[in-house]
Amino acid sequence: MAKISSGQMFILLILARIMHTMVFHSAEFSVGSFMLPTLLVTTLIEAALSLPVLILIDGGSDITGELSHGYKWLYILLRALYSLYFLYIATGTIKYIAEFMQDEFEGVINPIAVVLVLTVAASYCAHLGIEALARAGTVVFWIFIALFVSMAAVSEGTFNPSNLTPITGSDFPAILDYAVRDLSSSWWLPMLVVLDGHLNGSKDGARKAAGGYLVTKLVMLELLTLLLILVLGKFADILGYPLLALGAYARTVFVRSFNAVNMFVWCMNAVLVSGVYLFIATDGLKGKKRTAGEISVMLITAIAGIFAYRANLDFNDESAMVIKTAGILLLGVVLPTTLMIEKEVRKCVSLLR
Amino acid sequence: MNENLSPSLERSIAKVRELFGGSDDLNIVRFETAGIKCAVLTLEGMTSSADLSKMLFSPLMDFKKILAQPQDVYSFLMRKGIFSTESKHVRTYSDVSERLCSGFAVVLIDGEKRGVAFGAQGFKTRSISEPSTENNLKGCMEAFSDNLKTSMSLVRRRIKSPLLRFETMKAGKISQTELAIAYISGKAPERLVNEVKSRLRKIRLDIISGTGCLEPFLSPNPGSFFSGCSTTERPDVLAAKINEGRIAVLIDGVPFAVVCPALFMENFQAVDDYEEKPYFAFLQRLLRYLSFLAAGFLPGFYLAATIHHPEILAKTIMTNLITSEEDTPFPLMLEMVIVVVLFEIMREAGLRLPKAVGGAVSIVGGLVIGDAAVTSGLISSPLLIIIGITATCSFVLPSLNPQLTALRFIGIFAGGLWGFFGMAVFSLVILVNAAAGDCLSVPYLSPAAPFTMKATRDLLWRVGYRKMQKNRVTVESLNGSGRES
Repeated sequence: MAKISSGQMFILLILARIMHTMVFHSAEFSVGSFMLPTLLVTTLIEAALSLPVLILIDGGSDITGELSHGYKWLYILLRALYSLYFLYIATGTIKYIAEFMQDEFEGVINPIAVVLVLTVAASYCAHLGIEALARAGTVVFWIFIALFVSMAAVSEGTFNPSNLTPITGSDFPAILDYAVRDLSSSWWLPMLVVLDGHLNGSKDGARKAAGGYLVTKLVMLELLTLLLILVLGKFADILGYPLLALGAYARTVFVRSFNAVNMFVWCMNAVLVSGVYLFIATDGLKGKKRTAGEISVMLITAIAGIFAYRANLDFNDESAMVIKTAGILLLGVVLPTTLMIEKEVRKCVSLLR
Repeated sequence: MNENLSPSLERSIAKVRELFGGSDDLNIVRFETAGIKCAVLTLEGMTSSADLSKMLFSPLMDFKKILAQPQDVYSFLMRKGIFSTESKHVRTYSDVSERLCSGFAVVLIDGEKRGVAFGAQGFKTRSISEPSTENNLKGCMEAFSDNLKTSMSLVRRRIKSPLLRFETMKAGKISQTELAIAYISGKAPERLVNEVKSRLRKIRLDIISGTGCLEPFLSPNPGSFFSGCSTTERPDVLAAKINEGRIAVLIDGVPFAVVCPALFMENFQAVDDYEEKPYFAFLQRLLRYLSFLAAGFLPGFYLAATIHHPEILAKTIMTNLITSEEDTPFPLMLEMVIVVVLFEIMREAGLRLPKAVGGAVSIVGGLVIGDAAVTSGLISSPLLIIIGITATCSFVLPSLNPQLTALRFIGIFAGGLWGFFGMAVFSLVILVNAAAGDCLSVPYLSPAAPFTMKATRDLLWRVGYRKMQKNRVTVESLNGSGRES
C-alpha cells in the first residue's frame, strides 16, 4: 500500500482547509471581531472531538479495513458511507470553484466546463495515488506560502485599527452561526481516519498531523481574519470573495492585479484537494474494481457537480451543515472510536484467554 | 543451430555457409599444418588481418609434428601456443556464428569435433571524441565511444577500483547486442542491480538500436510524462552517478549510457557546476530552473494573460500589447501556434542538416522570416519576443527538450482556451504526474518531494567539496515508498 508521512498528511489536511476557506463567499456570513475568539473555541472543540480517535489510533493501520475479514457487509457499508461523504464534499468543492469562476472571471470558461475539467483532472490525479498527491501537495503548499509572502510584501493595503470593534451581546447569534459553520467544515477528521491506513509506520504520525493541523489552522485563520477586519472592515461583507479582494491590494510595476494569480493557485489547490477526496471515495478497491470505481466516481462527481451548479445547490445552508456535521461526527468520531474500542476489547479478551 | 560441429571439415564449412545463407562477408581460408587440414573463418571487416597473421597464421605454420593427429593441432591452439588474450573453444554451429559475429576468428580442424575461437577484433570504430550534447568549459573532454570495450575502459580509467563492476549480457533476439551493466559494489544495492538485470533479460525486441530501446524496460511507467532514466555520453558524469549508487547500462555500438534511477533535479545540474565556486553554481542552477519555467509555460501564460486576464498586466504593457496586436490578421492563439510550429520546424531542420547548412537555416528562419513576418504585420513583435525567450530557454535544458516542447504546446491550448484556470489545471496535472513517477522505487521528484534534507546539499545550492566529502548521499538513502518525508 502506498505510504505517506505525517508531514505530508498535515499538508493535505491544511490544503483541504485552505481550499474551503479561500472560496467562502461574503454572503455566507459577515466578518467581524467576534470571529477571532470563536475560531479559538471551535478549534478547541475540534481538538476535543479528535481526542478519542487520536488516543486509540495505531498509526498506519486501516481502521475500517480490518472489518473486511470478519464483517464484510459492515465493511462495504462503511466504505460506501465514506465514499458518499467525500463525493458530497468533492462535488461541493467543484461546484464552488465553478461558481467562483463564473462570478469573478466571467467569460473565461463556461462553468459547466469548469466542473468537467476539474472532475477529469482530479480523477486522473486520484488515479495516480495518494503518494503522488501528497508529494505534489508539498509543492502546492510552498507555492501558497510564496504567494502569501509575495503579496504581503507588495501589498498597498493599510490597517485600520478602528475596524476592530469590541464584541457585544448582539454578536451572539453571529458567533453561534460562525461556530457551527466552522465546525461543519472539520471534515479533516474523517480524512484523517481514512488516510491513516496510508500513513507510514510511526505510531505518532496521525497525532503529529492532527496537532500540526489544528495549530496551523488556528494561526492561519486568525491571521487571515485579522487581516480582513483590519484592511477591509465592513467592506468584506459586500465584496463577493473577501480573500480575493484582500489580494487585490497587492500590486507591482509589472503585475497590476493579483486576482488571476490568486485564482491560478486556488485552482491548482482545487484539483489537488478534489483529487484527494476522489481518492478517498475509491480507497479500498483493488484491481479491476478500482478502475471501475474510479470511472464511476468520476461520472457521479461530474453529473452531481453539473446538477449542483444548475440547481444552485447551497453546500453551506442549514441542511448541508447538518449533513457535513453528521458525517464528521459519525465517520470521524463515533465509528472509528467504536471500532478501535472493539479492537482493544478483543485484544484484552484474547490476552485473558 | 545448436547442432554439434561435424568431424568432417568440409561438412562443417558447408553448414556454416548455409547458416550465413552464403553471405559474401564470410571469409574462409583453408590451409594445412603438420598434414592436417584446417580452416580459419572470419567475417569481413570484423577482424584485424595483421593481428591474425601475427598471432595465428605464423605460429600455425611453424607447428611441426610427425604423424600429427587432429587433437594435437587442437591442443597446440588451445594450450601450448599463446595466440591471443581471448581464446574460447566452440562446439556447436551456434557457438561459431556467435563468435564470428563478435569479431572472433574461428579455426576448424578436420577430424576434430571442436574448434577454437580467437579474439582478433579489428573493426574500425570512431575514435574518442568530445561530447556533443553535454558540452562544458572545464573538466573532462572525452565522450563515450561506439565500441563497448572502449567505453568500459573510459569508466575504468576514472574509477581505478576493483569495486567498479561490469556485468555483460546480451539483448535483442536478432541483434544479440552486448550490454554492460556498470555499478560500484557496496554503493549500488544488490536488490537494484538484480532488478536491472532481470528487467533487461525480459527485453524481447529483435534489435537494440539505442538507449531508447532500454529505457521503457528499465523504468516501466507507462503513463509517465518524464523518464525515470537519463542518458549521458560523458564517462566522468557516469562515474559520478554510479558513485551515488546508481546503475548504468552501456550498449555496444551506442556512445551513450543509460543511467537509472534518474531524478528531475538532475536535469538542472551541469558538469561546470562542480568546477566553479558554489555560489556561481547556485546562480547557474537558478537560471536553469527559470529557463525551465519559461520554456515550458511562458507562451501559455502569455496567451492566458493577454486573451483572458489583461487586468493582470501593468497599464503601459497592456497598451503596448494592444497596439501591436491591432495590426495582425490572426487571432493571438493562432498566431502563437504558427510561430511555435515554425520554430519547431526550424529547430528540426537545423538538427538534421549538416552543421554548415544548419547555421544558414537559423539565419533564414530567425532573421529573415521573423523580421519579414513582423514588418509585414503578420505577427506582432511582443509575441516574437516571447517565442525568442522561450526558444533560448529551451536550449538551456537539452535533456528535457521533448517534455518542454510538449509542455509548450499543451500550455498554449490550456492558456489560450481557458486562461489561468487552464494553466492551473494543466500545471497541477503535470506536477502530480511527475510526483507519481519513480524508477527502482526512487521517486522522480526526490529529494524535493518527498523531501530528504541531507540530499538538498546538491539541489539548488551545491555545497563545497570539503562538506561534500563527508557523508555522501546515495540514491538508496532518498525518501521513497514508506519513508516519505
